Amino acid sequence: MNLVEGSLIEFRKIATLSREKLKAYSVASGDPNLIHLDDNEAKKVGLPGVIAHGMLIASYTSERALQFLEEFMNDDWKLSKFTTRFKSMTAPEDTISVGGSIKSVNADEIEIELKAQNQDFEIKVLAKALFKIKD
Amino acid sequence: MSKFSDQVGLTACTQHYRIDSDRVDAFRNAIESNCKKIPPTYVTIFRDGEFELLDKLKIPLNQILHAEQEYEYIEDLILNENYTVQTVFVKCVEKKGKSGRMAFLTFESRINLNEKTVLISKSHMVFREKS
Repeated sequence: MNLVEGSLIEFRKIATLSREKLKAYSVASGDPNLIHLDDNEAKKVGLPGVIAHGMLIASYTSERALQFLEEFMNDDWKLSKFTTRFKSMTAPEDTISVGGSIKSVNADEIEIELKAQNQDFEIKVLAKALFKIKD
Repeated sequence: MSKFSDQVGLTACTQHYRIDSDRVDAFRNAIESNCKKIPPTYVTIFRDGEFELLDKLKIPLNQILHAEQEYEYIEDLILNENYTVQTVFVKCVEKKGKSGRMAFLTFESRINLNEKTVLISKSHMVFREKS
């Protein structure tokens, strides 16, 4: 892959969600919000049932950013910024894939844009990752 | 709804976290990470200050939407180090829409090691007042 502006970053399946995985993430991340665990609590606030944590999908997206870093850049580079926008709710059985493109390339900075989407191509998270040469 | 913008500047108690390998492994497993480093989103664990501020603002957790998250990595996080986290309610935009009032709130957390900021996290939240 050429590291040039506009180059595509292939979509890769990162994970298929499950209620067990949401529970594991709640515990691991210390997120106490019951809308990720309890259908009744989720319905009380107008949701159809439990939804996945936005930050879990953001974490899957960051994994794809790290894969890009490991595969195409040497040890002189590091992740400098990571920004995510949450676009839609994720159901507890969705399969998440992440891919995108290179937004800009400079001598000491590369920025990529990533999308996390489910099996129906619904966008869940839009992200940007900025890589810089280490000091 | 009380005016949140009057409370911009509200600061949470300083939080203390140690990055231990068991917790990092549990987080890595939960996000199905194959990376050997501390995951970039690991610092979502350092959100107690945010929860404290939401509580002070009387915003129930189940009535907010997490709209955006930003991380700026200044230095790598290190296993077995002790970090302090200072979280501040830094910005608020309140709007009145057709379905009621909304507030867009930003919380900034500075993750410090030996009094030097090594990571800055910004969480952007949306609160919709129940009509």
